[in-house]
Parts: sequence; structure tokens; C-alpha cells
Amino acid sequence: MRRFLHALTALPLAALALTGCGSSGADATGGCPHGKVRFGVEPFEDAAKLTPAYKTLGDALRAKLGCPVEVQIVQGYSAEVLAMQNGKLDLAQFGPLGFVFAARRTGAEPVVSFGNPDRTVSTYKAGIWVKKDSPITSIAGLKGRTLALSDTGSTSGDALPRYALRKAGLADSDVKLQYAGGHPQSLIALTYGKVDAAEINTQQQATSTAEHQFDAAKYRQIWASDPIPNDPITVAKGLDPAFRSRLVAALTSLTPQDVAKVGSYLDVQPGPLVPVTRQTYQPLFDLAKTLGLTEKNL
Amino acid sequence: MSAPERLAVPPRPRSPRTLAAGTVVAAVVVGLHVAAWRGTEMDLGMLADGWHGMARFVSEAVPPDLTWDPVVRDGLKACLVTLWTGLLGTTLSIPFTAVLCALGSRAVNGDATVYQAARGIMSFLRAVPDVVFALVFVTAVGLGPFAGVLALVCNNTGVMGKLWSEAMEEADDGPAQALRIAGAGRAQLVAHAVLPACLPQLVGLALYRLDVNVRASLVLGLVGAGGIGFLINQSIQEFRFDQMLTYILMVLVLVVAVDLLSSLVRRRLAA
Repeated sequence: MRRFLHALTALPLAALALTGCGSSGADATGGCPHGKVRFGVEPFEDAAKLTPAYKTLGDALRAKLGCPVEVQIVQGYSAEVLAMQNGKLDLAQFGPLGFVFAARRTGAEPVVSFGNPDRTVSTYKAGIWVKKDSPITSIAGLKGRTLALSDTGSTSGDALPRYALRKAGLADSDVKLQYAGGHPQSLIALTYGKVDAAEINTQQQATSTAEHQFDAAKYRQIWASDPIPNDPITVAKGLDPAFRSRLVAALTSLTPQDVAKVGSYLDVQPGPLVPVTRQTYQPLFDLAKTLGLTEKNL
Repeated sequence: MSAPERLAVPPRPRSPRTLAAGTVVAAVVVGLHVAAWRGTEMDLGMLADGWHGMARFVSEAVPPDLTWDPVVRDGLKACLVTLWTGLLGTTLSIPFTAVLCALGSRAVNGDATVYQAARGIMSFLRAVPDVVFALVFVTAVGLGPFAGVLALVCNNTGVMGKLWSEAMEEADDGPAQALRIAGAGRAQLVAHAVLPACLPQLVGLALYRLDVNVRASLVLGLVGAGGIGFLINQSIQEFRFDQMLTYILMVLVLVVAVDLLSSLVRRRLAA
């Protein structure tokens, strides 16, 4: 539902994304390209919550850089990747799997992600949960049962659970997969008893527990993924190198308070933004390959 | 013998007031368009510069991916789900629509309170978008096409109820009056005068709604109701624009087929 409403509002952006000109037009002094930094964000939460959180982050970044920062919460990573591909974004935050597509298609380079207080990269885990009294005790037990996922292309809400099915020797068709439309919707499908099992990642678990919508004692987790590094913030490939260095320096010098609000929605303790490389996300490149998420002409 | 002289067309009287009103209206319309142009950040230069962004998008979509397994096969299955959802959403709402529009039509119902209540219910059902109904039903029956059908039934009852009751009110009143004078009761009036007069119109409107509902069930596909809408969304998420094009072509065929069928039936009814 929310996706659909966002889709309506994102159509102009998608149209904009398709009409790129591919050049970043930066000057050679490391000044602001086109007079501002255009920062796209793939929504991992309600846009209504993310907008004020990113305003705090954007304002802090503007103070460090001396460039206006224009944050755009996009509808999904596909519009964001196309916008970056066509030179319409300088800076973009992607979900881990969205980043794989962005890197493959646009050469987007990851520079920072959300850090813990001890400056390590924060992580989260995908998970599959059932009701406490359910006879299902493992992934293999999902055969013929209904499993709620969030939406297509989601790292923890689609790709990782399907990968887990593969590893347990099940094909997608052995399980009744139902896309609920988002992480909160997937959780609700389980709490309303409309599905046998549902994907609930650690971030959603924390958010829903805090909102008293989920009590882990009444449910049982039958699978958890390896830790996934949190969303990378990436820079466009064609960005002027001098400006790129300034941008990375500004990002890593933001205080934990500047990013705390955004981090709280990612279930991260307040910490700074810490450097990451493509290597950090290698497991997700492998995952995309295993699931056959390969585009034509690439 | 010369041709009869023609009178010149008399000039249209133009009062200063008409001219002033016309100028004001034109200025307002132009002003609105300027505001809209700016508000939507229209920039033809950007569009011209960005042609190769679009060209790349199109080149990735063409040619469409016509692999039978899984693309075309899944697409056909999903098209059927979309069609069934639209069909049931239309036909299952007919009984509810019939009751509501009979109560909400002056030609049938004389009680003002009941009339207003029926109109109110129809307005409410129209005001709530089908995607909202779909979400409500998802909590009751779970995810899947069933929730989509129920959502369409609700929304369509409101819309078709309004269309039907208006058609009934616009129908020729003559036969009904003649029967009333002859002493016919309300039920007899409906059966022998109102319905025969507007049945072809009611069927035509139902077919038009079928056409709309098939397209609406596309959007419901995004709310977990399944169908071809979901596959289009999925192919975009995976950057398989060639598959997206295949599914869009299937939708095109489906919509045109439903449209042709309904116009054929309507023509037969009118004949």
C-alpha cells in the first residue's frame, strides 16, 4: 500500500531518472558540483519518519561541506539506481542488495556506512519466525506452508530468505511465498495469524518491540542469516576526485548525534559513519549471483 | 437571372463585460499552467539532453524476453489471476449494487430517509480507494487474490451503484406512470417498467466496470493480491526491463480483449 502511494509520488523522479545527462559537471577545485549535493535515499522505513531524520543528517553535512544538501527519499532502489546512472544523484544510500545493482550498473562506490560506538560497521540479520506453538521447527518444515516476505528485491525481506530455502533444498515453488509489501506488513501477517511463517529482520523486530506490536516470547525464530553490513552511502562514479575526498572527509567527521536519528531506524547504537569498501559487501554480490539476479546486457 | 443575394452573417454582439470575463479566464488558465510548469520542475532542455538515458532504458527493454519458462508461462498465469480478480470483483458486486441502487433511486424508492442512507453508503464505498479496502481485507483473509476480489467488490458496489441509480432515474417515466395509474404496486413497477427501460444501459455500465476493474486489479497486485501487476513490479526491481516489456504487452492484449468483448456485447444489446 505504502509502496503504491510512494510509487505515485515517485513517478516524476523515475521520469527524471530516465532523462539523465551522465556528467557530474563539477569544477576542478573541489567546490560544489551544480551548486548542491543531491543525496538519494532508498527507504527502509516510512518516508514520514525518514524525512526529518535525514534533514538532521543533511544539515550537518551542509555545515561541514559548505554546499546545500538536497535529500530525496525515493520510492525504491530501481528509480534511485537509474537516477544515479544518469548523473542525477551525487550521493546515494542503498540497501545492501540495492547497492549490488547500483555498483553493477553505475559503478557507485561505497564510502561509509553506519558504525557502532566502537567504530566497527553495524550489522543486522534477516530472520524467519513462526508462532511459538507452530509445528514448524526448521526451514525444511516450510514445505507447502505460507511464508510472508516483504517485497521483491529486499535484502533481508526477499533475497536472503529465498537463499535460505535454496540451501535447505527447497525451490521457491515448494513454499507458498506471499509478498506482504514491506517488513512491517510481513510481521503483521504473522501476528494476525494469516501466514504460517514470516520474515522479520532484527531492525523490524526492534522497532515493533518498542512499539509494543511484537512480543518475541510468543514466537519462535526458525532461521537467522549471517550478519549483513548495514546500508552503504555511495558516491557517483563520475564525481570530481577533489570534491569526492572532501565529501568523504565530511561524512566521516559527522558526530554520532548527527546520524543517531537515522541510525535509530536501522537499530544502530549512536556511533559515527565509518569507512567501507566494495569488499565489505562481497557476500551480497555472491548472493545476487546465486539467486540469478543478473540483468540483460551486463 | 442572378443568384439570390446572401445576407452577411451578423456580427456576434460583444459586450465589454463578456470580453473582460474572457480575458480574466484566459489569464487565470495561463497563470495556472505557468505555476504547474514550475511546480513540476518541467525542463525541456533536460529532456533533450537526457535522450540517451531513455534510449538505454528502451534498448534494455527491447526485444521483450519471450522465454516460455518462466517468463511467458508465469505471465499468462498471472494475467488469468488479474482477469479473474476483475471479473469476480464486478459480478459479485451486482447483487449488492442492485439492492443499494434500488434504495438509492427515486424511481424505485419513495422513502427519503432510506434513499439518503443508501446514497450515503454508496458515497462511502466510492470514497475509500480499493487499495485501502485491500489492506483491510488482508488482515482478515490474508494475502492473495481473495483480498483483492473483496476490495474490488466494495469499491465497485459504490461506483456501479451510483451509475445504475442515475441510469434508472434518467429512464423514460411514461410506462411507469401508466402502470401506476392502472394500480400497479412498487414491485410490479420495477419489474415491468423501470427495469425493461434501462436494462441494456445497466448491462453496458457493468461491462464498462469490468474493463475498469481488470485494470484496477493490476494495481492491487502490488498489495500482495498477485497477478500481472506484481510481476511488472518484480521485473523492475530486478532490472529485467525486457521481462517488464513482455508483461506490459500481455496487459495490453488483456485490456484490449476485455474492451473488444464488452463493446461487442453492448452492440448486441443495443441492436
